[in-house]
Amino acid sequence: MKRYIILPWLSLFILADGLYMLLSPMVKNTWTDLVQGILMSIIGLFGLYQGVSAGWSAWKGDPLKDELTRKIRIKASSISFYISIWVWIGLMFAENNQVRFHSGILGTGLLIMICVYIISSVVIRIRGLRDE
Amino acid sequence: MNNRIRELRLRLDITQDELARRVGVRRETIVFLEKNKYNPSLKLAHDISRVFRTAIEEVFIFEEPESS
Repeated sequence: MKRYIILPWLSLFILADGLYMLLSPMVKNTWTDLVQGILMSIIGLFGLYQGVSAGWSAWKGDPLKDELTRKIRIKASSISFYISIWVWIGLMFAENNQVRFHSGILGTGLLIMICVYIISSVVIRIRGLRDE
Repeated sequence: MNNRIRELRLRLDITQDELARRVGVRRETIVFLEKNKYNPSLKLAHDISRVFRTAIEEVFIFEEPESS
């Protein structure tokens, strides 16, 4: 039962952090801060939704994982991994006009990877998994 | 692959929730199956056909791919 309480709380912290990055006048609003704030807010909202729906399912007595959810997770993970690698290279190149790596790009790249995962799992849920 | 899950479920007068519970999956999976958005594993297809007390090929209709 603990994990159904931990996930929504953790997501709330991420959401609060993302909104703080977007709204607080204390934060220097560079484009990296804005992108990271938006991405963190999306991740926080998605985590909150997942946590609440998992808690609801557990309360109803539904299984938390079945073959469909497992397949959606595997497919979304592979898509996000593939796409985010190219986005990562694109980010590095766009910032310096040459392929260089630093911690800001690492953070943004990870956030983008999670966002692509969220988007692809939503798209898979809409389109279905017929050809798997 | 098409299926007759909705038709057979309504004939037995059971809800999506109940069918999901009987075969050990989430209701979302049954919704996906009824909308033909997901091809189930052999085990799930077998479990569903057992609930309906019929053969797998009565529930799931396999279509030959069109040859060009």
